[in-house]
This record gives sequence, structure tokens and C-alpha cells, in this order.
Amino acid sequence: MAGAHPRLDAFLASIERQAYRFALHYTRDRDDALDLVQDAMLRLARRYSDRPDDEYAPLFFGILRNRIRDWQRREIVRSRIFFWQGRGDSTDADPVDTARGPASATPEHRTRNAAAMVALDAALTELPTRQREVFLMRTLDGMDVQSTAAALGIGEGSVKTHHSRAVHRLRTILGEHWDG
Amino acid sequence: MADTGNDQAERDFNARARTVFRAAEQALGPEIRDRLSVARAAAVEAARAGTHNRWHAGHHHWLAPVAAAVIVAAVLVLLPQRTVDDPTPSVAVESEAYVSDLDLLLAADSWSLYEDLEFYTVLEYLDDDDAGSG
Repeated sequence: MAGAHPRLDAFLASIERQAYRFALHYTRDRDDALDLVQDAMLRLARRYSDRPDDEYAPLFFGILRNRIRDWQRREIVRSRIFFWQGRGDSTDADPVDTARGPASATPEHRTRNAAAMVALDAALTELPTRQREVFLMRTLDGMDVQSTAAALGIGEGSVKTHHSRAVHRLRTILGEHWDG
Repeated sequence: MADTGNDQAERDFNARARTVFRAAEQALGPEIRDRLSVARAAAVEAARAGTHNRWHAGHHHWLAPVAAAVIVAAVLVLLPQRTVDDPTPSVAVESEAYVSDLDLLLAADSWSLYEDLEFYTVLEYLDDDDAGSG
């Protein structure tokens, strides 16, 4: 029913894939990532659909981030209770499987991008939580400093510092060849 | 600016990371895209329904909490009042039963009956004792 809320529909359409990749980075599970994105979309729609356009992104990614944290807490509890069980066949959602690159890219480009995505994804896990969140929001989601600060509830100066440190650390981990 | 080279390297890195992310997004399978579309449609529908059902939320947002407070206050007022010394129901039942037993025992007839029974019990005990020793 896009006609009823064209602004919200357009916003969600513009960020749904980034949001999915954002959630997938944390969950490593396709279904969990989709559930989290849907939860965040619903909450934004029910509570904040009347807000101005420029507030959508910080609100949505703030909600998604909180949802991911709740999910992580539940996973910790679950892993303690069901410590003898694995996470099931979450290997389906391995970024390697999906990071094939755009259809227009050559096989060589797709392979390179896929390998780069896997390396970046692994390197991101080595960052402190705040640096990782800032990097993902600024680079993956394309949010500006102001929106990122609003979504994370920190100052704009902190966003710049965390982002700079994240980039520096990622470059150290990935090495010079990754940039090429 | 002494740090220009480093800034440029950061920008290049960000651009490369963005390209890699976009490529991964573009590569999402049709099933994922469909599910994201369904989720988006559900959210937009929820927003529409929410707007439709939100009765004058902008002007009367205080009404729901006030109504809830009035209902709670009415329930508290209408509930039967109890004093601090009131026993709990189970204690009351037990103590009433105890008092009624005691009343029964202390009634003259019952007391004599009790004495009789006690008397016969002692006699039976003595009989048993005699039988044992005999």
C-alpha cells in the first residue's frame, strides 16, 4: 500500500538492502537478518511514520541496531542453555554465497568483489563495537555524520573519530592490496 | 595540510569499501529481494493502519493514561477495605475451627463425655496390662 505512505515506502525501498547487509553482518544468518530488518521496519512504521524524511534514516538504523543487540543477548543466553547444539545450517547465509557482484560485472570482477567482501566482513569483526557501527552506517548505509550521530546517540565529533580509527584499523588488517 | 596523503588514502579506502558493499547488495538473490519487499509492504500497511486507527492522537494523547489511572483508582476504592490486624483467610478458617473445637470440649456435656472416654481408655489399658502380665 505504497499510496498511503509514499515517503515511508520510498525510504524503506532505498535502504532495505543496506539494512539487510547490516543485519547479516552481525547475525550471519539470512532468516535472522530478515526478521530483524522486518521488525525494525514495522517499528519505524508504527511509531515514526509521521516524522520528517531526514529523521527516517537515524531512527531506522537506531532501531535496527537496538534490535541486533537484543538478538545478540538472546543468542548468548541461548548458546549457554543449548550449548551442545550448533547454530543449524547458517552456512547458507555466508556472504561468499551472495556476494557475486552485479550482473553486469565480469566474472573476474565478481570474484574479486566477493573475495574483498569476505575479507572486509571478517576484518570488521575485529573492530570494537562502536567503530564497527559507525563504519557500517557511514560507509555501508551512506549516512552522513549528523544522522550517524543521531542514530547512535553520540556526538558528531565522536562519529568522526570512530570512523577514522575504524578505517585506519581496517586498512592495517586488510593490507594495501585490498584497496586496489 | 601534512595529512593530505593519509586523508586521500582514507577516502580511497571508503570508496572501495562502498563499491564492495554495493556489489554485495546488488548480488542479493531474488528470494531475499522478495522477502524484503514483503517486509516493506507490511510496514507501509502497518503505518497506514496505525494512522487510521490513531484516534486524534495529536490532541488527546493524555486521555489513555488518565483513563487507565481513573480505572485503577476506582478499583482500589471499591475493593473491600481490610485492617492491618485482619488475619489472612486461611489463618482465619483455622482459628475459627480451633475455637469451635475448644467450645465443644468445654461445653459441660462434652467435657463429661471426654472424661468418660478417658476413663474407659484407662480401664482398657489396665485390662491389657493385666492380661499381659497374667
